[in-house]
Amino acid sequence: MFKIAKLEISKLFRSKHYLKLLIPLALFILISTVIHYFIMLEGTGDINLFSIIYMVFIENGPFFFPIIAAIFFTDVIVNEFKQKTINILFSSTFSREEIFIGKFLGTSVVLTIIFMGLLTISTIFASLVADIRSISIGFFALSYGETLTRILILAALTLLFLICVGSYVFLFGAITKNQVIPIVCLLLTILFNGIPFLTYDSKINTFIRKYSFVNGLYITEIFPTYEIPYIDVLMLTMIFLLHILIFIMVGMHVFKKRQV
Amino acid sequence: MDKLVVDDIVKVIKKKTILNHVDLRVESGQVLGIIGQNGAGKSTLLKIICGLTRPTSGDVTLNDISIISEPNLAMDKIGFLIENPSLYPYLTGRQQLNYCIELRSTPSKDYIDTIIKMLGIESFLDKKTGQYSSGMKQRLGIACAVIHNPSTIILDEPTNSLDITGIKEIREFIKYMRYEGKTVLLSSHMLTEVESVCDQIVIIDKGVIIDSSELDTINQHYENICEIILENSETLINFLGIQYEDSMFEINGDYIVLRVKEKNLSPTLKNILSNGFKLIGVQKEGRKLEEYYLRKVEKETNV
Repeated sequence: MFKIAKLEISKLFRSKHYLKLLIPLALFILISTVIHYFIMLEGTGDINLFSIIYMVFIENGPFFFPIIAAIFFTDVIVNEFKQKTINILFSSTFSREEIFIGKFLGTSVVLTIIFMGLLTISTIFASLVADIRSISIGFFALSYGETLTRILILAALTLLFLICVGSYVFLFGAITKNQVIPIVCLLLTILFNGIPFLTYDSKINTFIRKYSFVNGLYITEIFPTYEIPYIDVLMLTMIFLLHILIFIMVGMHVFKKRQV
Repeated sequence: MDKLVVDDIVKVIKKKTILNHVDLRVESGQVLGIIGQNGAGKSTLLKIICGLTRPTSGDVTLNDISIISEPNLAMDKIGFLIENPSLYPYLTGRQQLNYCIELRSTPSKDYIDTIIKMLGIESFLDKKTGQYSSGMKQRLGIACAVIHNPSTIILDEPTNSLDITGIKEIREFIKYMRYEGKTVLLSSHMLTEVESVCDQIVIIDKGVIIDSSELDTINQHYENICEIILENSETLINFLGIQYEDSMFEINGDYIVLRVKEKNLSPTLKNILSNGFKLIGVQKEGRKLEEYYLRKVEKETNV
């Protein structure tokens, strides 16, 4: 399984396939950081480190990040079927379950490297331009260390959410061997979550809002308080991990029965 | 020694029976040719044997290991090229070969060198496969199929998109594989190719194996046809009209082609040359297998 993951990582970098993730993410993360720097500069003139990075997540987290991640993950699985290179993997001594998990792991590692790399660059840039002596949330002052911890938790949660989205579209990719359908499914899931009747306070709606992986669309909502909401963070982490596990288990089962 | 057993395979796709109770037993070191019309079920059968497609019922075992339920356990012993070679266009040929090795067991360096040399791929191994011609892809595809030194090799139309030299080299390669004691299953619509390398043939028609014979047995019952090519002239046409049946010769512009059985070649040539007609050439048609195949399929259709 780890060997397949290693081979997948090497394939993703050799094929320059990672650029499909790197370029749009770089555009959304880095450009968004720079834009907010200028907006703050034009406004009050106070450059708040936490606010700059926080705005990047608020703007991109609920839509662009999941869509980019979905395109990247589906590309990896569907292309193997399209180019019929899946035959090479099926002729290996690895079981189909190992192949499926290995590919998913490899893709997740590449996503992690690129996502965290870009955020690090953004944070370094923001740290250089911001006044790190006056970081605050509302009237509460934050130390540089506290700010970095918040950014790290926010980034880690978002990354876990994106990997969860990846497992969701990986599953649909394995079922349909088609790149469009999984992305449409994801879009429908996002839209379904945003349509008005779900905002009514019914038991089902509350349950979906609380326990489904689409909770990842609202990660930023739990952060604008002075105290870091560790319980909420833990809860979200568990929800994402559980969903990843379910999607991967079902995906493995589907992949095992896949015919060429 | 590895024994491949196909046991009562049935494959139904959308209520259409593609394979109907197919049984096959291939002994180690044998080269088996699978022939049949387009849509007869050859590729489906090979895909099932490779574990790429699951049958509706039945099993395929290699040394008593089920390829259907435990494909990964058998894959170290099987190498296959089904339809067109699947290659990653962004990898070089060498990287592609290494990738195939990483996915299976590592063969000896000598073996790898032999394969590279025999398939004539060394000169373009460092080019990206996306820049390969279809012939180059086919050669590399075969190399990838056998690079882990499997005991059973399955090749579906291996000479597709190859030129004459390439076809000859692949034939030599298959013969070398047999010499090495490997079992080869070969599907091809080129009967001359099957005839030149196979020990046994299986004819598949409408998803059913209608015949399985040793090629030696077929050779004993059928004779090759030879073509005598002669310069066209009025006197020759009259001469042939008297001496031979009309169906045996054909007028093609400047020349006439006379078809005779191989055993009659010598007296026929003597007869023609002694009458002063001009000979252009003689060629062997090698139609034993074709004749045998057509008779079998025709018989099956009539039944």
